[in-house]
Amino acid sequence: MTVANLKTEIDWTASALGSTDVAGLVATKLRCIAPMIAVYLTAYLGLSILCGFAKPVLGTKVLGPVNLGFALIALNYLVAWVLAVIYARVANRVHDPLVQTIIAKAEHEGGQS
Amino acid sequence: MNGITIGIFAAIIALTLAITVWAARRTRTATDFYAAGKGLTAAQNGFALAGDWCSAAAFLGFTGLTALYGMDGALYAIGPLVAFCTVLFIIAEPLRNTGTYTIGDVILYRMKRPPALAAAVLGTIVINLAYMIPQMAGGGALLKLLLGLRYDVSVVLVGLGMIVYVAAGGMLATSWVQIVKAVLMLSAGTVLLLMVLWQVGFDPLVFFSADEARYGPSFLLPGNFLKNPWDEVSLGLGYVLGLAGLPHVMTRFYTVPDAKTARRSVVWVMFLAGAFFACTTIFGLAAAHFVGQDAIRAADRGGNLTLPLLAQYLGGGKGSAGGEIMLGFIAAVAVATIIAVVAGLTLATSGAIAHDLYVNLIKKGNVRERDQVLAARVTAIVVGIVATLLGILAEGVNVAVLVILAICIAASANFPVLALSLFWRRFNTGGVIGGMGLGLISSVGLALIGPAYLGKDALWPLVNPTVVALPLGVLGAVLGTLIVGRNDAHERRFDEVMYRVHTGVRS
Repeated sequence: MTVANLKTEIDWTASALGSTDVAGLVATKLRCIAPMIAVYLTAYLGLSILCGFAKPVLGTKVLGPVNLGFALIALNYLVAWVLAVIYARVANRVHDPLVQTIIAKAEHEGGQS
Repeated sequence: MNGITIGIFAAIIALTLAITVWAARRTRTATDFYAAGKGLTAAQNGFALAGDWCSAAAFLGFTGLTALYGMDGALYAIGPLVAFCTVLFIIAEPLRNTGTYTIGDVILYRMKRPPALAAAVLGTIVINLAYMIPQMAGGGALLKLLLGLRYDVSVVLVGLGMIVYVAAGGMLATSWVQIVKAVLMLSAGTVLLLMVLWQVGFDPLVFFSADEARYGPSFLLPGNFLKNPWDEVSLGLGYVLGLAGLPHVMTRFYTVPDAKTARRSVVWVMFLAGAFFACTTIFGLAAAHFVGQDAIRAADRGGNLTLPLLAQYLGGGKGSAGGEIMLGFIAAVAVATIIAVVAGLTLATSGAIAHDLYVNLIKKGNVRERDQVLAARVTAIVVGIVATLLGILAEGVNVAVLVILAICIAASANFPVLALSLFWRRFNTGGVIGGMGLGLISSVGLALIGPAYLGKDALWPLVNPTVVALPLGVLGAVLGTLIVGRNDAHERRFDEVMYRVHTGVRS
């Protein structure tokens, strides 16, 4: 992509691109991503803040010699891995087919005009 | 150190050079050079990403921190994994769909403005140099220790290695060197883990109770390394958003054919590198138990030799054949790691200079394919030489803090600008310059007046300024956007941008 060939690019109109479909795709993606972002940011930044300001709480023993701090670290590993797998599944099953539909539709309309 | 280390190291170097020769024959176009022909599979790119992210600072550093400071080391180790959630959910696929070789591509496509591109290039170069100098210095120190060479000779050897990989073999060689290294490192990690667990009857909880009994209850609490509570928060923020702004990690997503593969490669790295980092915590706790903090400090005050020492212990101890082989293997992998990571950084920097600055900004894209590759190779050599010289000058300076600075800039300047470019309709060139400018200035400025450089005379209490620099970077991006004001044509074009960001279809 370069400045030069961008200037000669066709000014696509929103309707020809099916921008409502793209907006729908973005909304679908956000419904999946937003809660997941909230979960991992809460888990991780929450842990960071507790480490800074609530040391004694993190020292509470929860599993034999393991304290709450290490348990929360383990929880963060679990959260990250589970979210990654969920996201990959949703993206493969929901997002990708939507993208294919949008591309097919745009090609179809492009062919007609 | 000994013949075994030198032998293993020579074998690894020979293998990577053979890869480079093979890759050099296949590197003809700019796409080959910057993006390995966009032909890597998800697993290959996942391993290469694991290689990029498991730098020596990470796999030696995290183990050492855990052994000497307990929980803070484990906190350092979990950060990168969580950060890959940010990369997976909001950066990897849009980046792959939108750009060609660099972060600058995305900014240029969105803004179509040279000043916006120039700001992105500046951010990339500063981050990469700040990230590279500590790696060069660490590599020099490690080679000096292993082979008994002088520090400056060691740094030159590291620099020579990375220049050869990058200038000759481009991204294809760099990727495969990373893959080989990642496989070696993960195998070594698996063997070490089994040996460590074998010693305690596969019950790692033993380490918690043993270390607590030996070093006191505070060992298992946070705050032993990061004294200021806000530094803990800064570390968290910097990691979770900064990784998504590191140029050498981002350029990896251009080496795959499509967004779906980019997504799958992130899932790969999350399981590979995530599991490895979880192991560094166990290794650290085990080393504190088996080797002991005194012996670790005696070998290196920063604890960077913890993992090699643990390997030596598990192999049978100092002087035993098994111990020396294990030590030699871990040490050789560590040096290979450093060369591979600086190669990735050299490549990303040469992309910013040769592709963004020379081809797109100065020549407006009117450069023949052959000359683009030539420019990229020459730039890689120059960047390599500059990094080597800076690495030599860095002897004896506390450079570890530069890694923190690089991640802080990536989180405060690169990440907001990249994310807003992809998702905010009104975001404009003013926002790019405002975000990059304020993010960069506040990160560098606060780091310079902080304890990392001024010690006790620090004017500002935090080593890691992300907690302040990140909000400032976002503020700069928003203010810059508002000051420049709205532009109907620019905002209408956002529909086209969104179309490409989410489908990958190009006009």
